[in-house]
Amino acid sequence: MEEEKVIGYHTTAIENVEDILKKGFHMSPSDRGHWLGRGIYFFSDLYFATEWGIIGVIKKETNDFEEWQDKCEVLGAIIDDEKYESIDLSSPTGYYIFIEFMQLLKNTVSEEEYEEIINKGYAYIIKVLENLEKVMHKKLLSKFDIVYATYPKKIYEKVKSNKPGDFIICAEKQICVKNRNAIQKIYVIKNNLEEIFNLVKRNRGVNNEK
Amino acid sequence: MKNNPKLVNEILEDFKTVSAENLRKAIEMTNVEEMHNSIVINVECKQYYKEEVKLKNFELHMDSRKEKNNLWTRLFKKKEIASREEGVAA
Repeated sequence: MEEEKVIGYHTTAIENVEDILKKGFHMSPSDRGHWLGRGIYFFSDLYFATEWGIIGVIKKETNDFEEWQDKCEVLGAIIDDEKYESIDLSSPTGYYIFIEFMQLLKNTVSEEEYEEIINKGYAYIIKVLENLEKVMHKKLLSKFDIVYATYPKKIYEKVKSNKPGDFIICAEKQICVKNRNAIQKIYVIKNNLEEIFNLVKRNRGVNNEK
Repeated sequence: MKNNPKLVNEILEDFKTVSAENLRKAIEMTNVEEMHNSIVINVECKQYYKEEVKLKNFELHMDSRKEKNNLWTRLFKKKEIASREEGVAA
């Protein structure tokens, strides 16, 4: 049987590329910017990786692909989802871990504290779960080498779909690799970037219109 | 993705062994880290924003929360705070 491989896309500043290709990705720390805890983060869709070049690398709106190209590089990573353990927190199975952990929190803290925790969001809860691993010296979510989760894309809030039979629009799936050994190969993506950039530009332009 | 149910069940079983004390410790650790984040933002990010970023541009076009989160990461890297799990010194 052919092994199941997943491609993750990671956009970074062009000056980081050589180092990443030589030494591999750095693990990002667990903080609020990293929703799924400590790990190496990827988009599963090249579109969002391209958009991240604008949001996260250039950090200002641009319509200029050459500027994007001068500053950003998209790296593809082949992730071995067959050999390594993975969980999708947006799936019913993955979400079950969440529900149970939230129940555990509910049973432990006061009603007010629980309300505060919920308001802080899932990233905070993941962080508590990671700290619990440190306190207990035991792997919990870290039993999984790869964690997936899907986010509703904020800028597309205007597009709402509630009718039966409709599908979720513009969901953004992210991949957090917690075990760097699961990354088999890193390479530079060159194809189709300008076309995707133009789509990103168009969508961001449409959404910037009041 | 495999969503290995055996591992999921193992985690659920592990949850049953979590003491209230340990969970409270984990929450406290997290709150200290969060507080540290806020301190870094309040004291240093303002300056960073002023010096290196056109804030208005962000507010108009960017997902500011994402940007802020990214900023935290960069600042933490910059300041080489490697062992945040040990908490913030009082």
